[in-house]
Amino acid sequence: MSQVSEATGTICLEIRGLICNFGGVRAVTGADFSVACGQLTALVGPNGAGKSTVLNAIAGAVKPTAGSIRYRGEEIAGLAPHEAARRGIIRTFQVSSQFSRLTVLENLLVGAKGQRGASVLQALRGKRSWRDSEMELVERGRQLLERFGLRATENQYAGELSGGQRRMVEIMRALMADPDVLLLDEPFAGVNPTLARRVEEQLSAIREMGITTLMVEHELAAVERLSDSVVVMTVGSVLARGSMANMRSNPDVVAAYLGA
Amino acid sequence: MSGAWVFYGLTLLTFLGVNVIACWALDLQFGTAGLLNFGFILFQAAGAYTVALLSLGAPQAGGYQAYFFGTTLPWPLPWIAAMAVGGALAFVTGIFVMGPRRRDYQAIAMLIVSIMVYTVVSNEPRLLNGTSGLSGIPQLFQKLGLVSYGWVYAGITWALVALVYVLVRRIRESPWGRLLRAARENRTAAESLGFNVRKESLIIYVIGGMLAALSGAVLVQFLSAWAPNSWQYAETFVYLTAIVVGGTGSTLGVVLGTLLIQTVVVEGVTFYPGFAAPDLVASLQWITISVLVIVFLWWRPRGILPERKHRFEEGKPQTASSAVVDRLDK
Amino acid sequence: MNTIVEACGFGLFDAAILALAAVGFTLQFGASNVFNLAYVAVMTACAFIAYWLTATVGLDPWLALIVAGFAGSVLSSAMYFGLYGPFVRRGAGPFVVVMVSLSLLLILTYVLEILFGAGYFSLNFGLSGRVAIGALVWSQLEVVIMCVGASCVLLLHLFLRYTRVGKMVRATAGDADLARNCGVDTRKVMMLVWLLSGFLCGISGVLYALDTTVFSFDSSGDFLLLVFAAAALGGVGEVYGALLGALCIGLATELTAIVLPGLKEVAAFGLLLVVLLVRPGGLLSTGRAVEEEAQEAGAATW
Repeated sequence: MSQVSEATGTICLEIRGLICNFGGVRAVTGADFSVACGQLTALVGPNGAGKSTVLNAIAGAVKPTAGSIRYRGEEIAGLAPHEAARRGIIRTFQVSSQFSRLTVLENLLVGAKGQRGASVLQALRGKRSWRDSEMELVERGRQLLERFGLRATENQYAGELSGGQRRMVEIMRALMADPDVLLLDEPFAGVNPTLARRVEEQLSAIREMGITTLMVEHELAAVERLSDSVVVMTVGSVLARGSMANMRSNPDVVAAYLGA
Repeated sequence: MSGAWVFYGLTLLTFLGVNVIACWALDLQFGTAGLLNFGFILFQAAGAYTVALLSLGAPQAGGYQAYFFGTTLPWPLPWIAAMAVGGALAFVTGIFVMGPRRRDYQAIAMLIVSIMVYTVVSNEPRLLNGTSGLSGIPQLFQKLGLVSYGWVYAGITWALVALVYVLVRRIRESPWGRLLRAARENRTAAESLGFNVRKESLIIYVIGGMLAALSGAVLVQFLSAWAPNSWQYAETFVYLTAIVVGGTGSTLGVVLGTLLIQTVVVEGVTFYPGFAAPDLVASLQWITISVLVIVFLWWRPRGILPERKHRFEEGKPQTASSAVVDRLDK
Repeated sequence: MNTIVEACGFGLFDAAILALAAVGFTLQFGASNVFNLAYVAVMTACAFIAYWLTATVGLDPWLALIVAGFAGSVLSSAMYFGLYGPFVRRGAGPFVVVMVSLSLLLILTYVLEILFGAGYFSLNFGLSGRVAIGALVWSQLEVVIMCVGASCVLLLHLFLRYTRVGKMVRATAGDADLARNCGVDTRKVMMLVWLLSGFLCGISGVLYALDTTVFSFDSSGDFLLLVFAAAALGGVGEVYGALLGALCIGLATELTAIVLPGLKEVAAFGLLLVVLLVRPGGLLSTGRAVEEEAQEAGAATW
């Protein structure tokens, strides 16, 4: 069970000197920043700045060429995605990544932490050994669905949902995994204004829960409303850090956005 | 009914049992975990050869068949050994093949492995007696008459089918089964939620290999002989057809598909009047099966009895607490 | 030493035939992303057509060769536009397509058996006599085959390199999406690719039949893996890679035959396995493509 015990202000994630080269592209050329525990930090910047790559590196989807990523003091650079997830680092994807031929409720259960029956030996012991644990998780899932207004879709195949609904299911799925750090990859990408409001509600709720979050995003208005602090990247490295207000008045930042 | 017809019926029943076990094995790999294995027949062959080698006794110098190793073990040890060999083979091939890569490459890599082994075994008679294969495998029980033996063997086969059914059901219904299905749908997303797809896929692959080998063991002890032409690469395709037609990912669908393919196509074509020549029959079987696959992949890719949607029961009203939701409502 | 030189000679010869087949296959695979297992069955079918034309109809062998090539074009295009194309447009993932291709392979093979029976046939172009070039002695037949193979390769090279259409074909085979984004009418090019590769398929099938003493409805199995191995070594859609791959496979199999006579194909199989698993982009690529393709493939459903 994750704890909201980290005092806000302590550092949860620390990125130092991160360099990622692949396929001949220097996507990240030396990024340095920290993510404070219990806060929502936004990672912004023009296209090609390397934001998604940084997120991927933290999540283990990309192996850094050099540099360090420390999570609660442990070096996690180069871990495989499932190993990062096991440590409580849960991510969402820019392109909707649901499990199409599983129902919405099943989608939520895939991520659930501490499920009995999730290994081959436990499965072979039969239904009685994992039934109660599953029902608990089903309840939890249903409550989440209820909270975000998607209870009616419980038994639909995830592949049949609209894009926006899928986006929300993915966020709920991440919540079911009891994340210690939540990595959001452009949650507002391609989302229409009505839906954007609901996604923002979701994220606002997450923020109130005190889950450490790092959000890559282009939609700056939402970023302003949701984030506690902002990191601006451009051409592979960090340009500036601080509050949104500071960023607005920082001439380098403005130039980077306008020049992009 | 004459004894010959009864025996024929029992033979079909035994074959059906063997094929159902094999198809469930293939479906665990393909329908549940999404691993396409075009070399599947190799695992059945491995099981069959293991039983042969462990029942024929040591190879005789100058004997009528040559093989590299042999001994005689009491039943059911050869069958258990067969499962171990099938599992080991699956483990070794799985390590190399089941990485993150296109599924058609995975499938074809396994196809190549099965053809390679086929070539080596056929061309090197000292290993497993080459193209002639091994024969003279002793029956399980010596003292029974033909029909009685048929009944007993069919009984053993279907007892095994029942056991395998329990195993397959437990895996499919479990959270582990759900995780495998998720990995089938979207490998990256499953990994991002903490599921070690590579390791768990390997496990289900090994289980599939063990069950396939078991089917080979049961089959070979019934047939008393086993040669390369029983396990040409196209045989995998017959099993694939059965699960595609019946319904991948569905335990009963697979049984239905196996029944249909075995009786209607394989046996049924032999009865068609006018097509007496054995070559012609075989050709028609292959053509029918292939056309069936294409038709089903186009019109009903999920099969006749597709994988059912998993609904959860309505639980008790909200007594379960949920840390996540509680925090939301603070 | 002499055996090695001899083996190289054989290797070159095998490579010449294999080159045509491999190039055709890789064009298809590269342009349409279809792993067409039935390709080798079309090769066999065209060999049978050439046989029927020369033995039964009494057509001039060289004409029969050309007609067989066109038959290959027709068959291949029919398979793509009648079957693969519709499946791909429906969103079928690579493993549905490869299952369809395996079905087609079996259908073609067994239709051939029904039509021609299970016996062995041989193609006779009326060539005999030997020719000596340096230390290598070849039969007239072998020289002719090599010349046909080499001239086809040369013509192909000229077409792909120096004509506008040829360049579009090469671009589409290398990266169809990119070609489309650059304004190439990929639908028309696709048609041309399947016609052209079908022709190469047919010609190479006839050459193969000429080379082996006898062939039957089942011969597809003999060159199935050699063709894929050569194409895979060269990289998907890379024509010159396929030529290089054919050379490698030709030499590798013949050199292996010196040591392990019955198992010379095993070398080719082993190479193909290594490529499929370690370097799916071909010998000259990096391993990167694996991950990306896997992500895409993972997202595609049935």
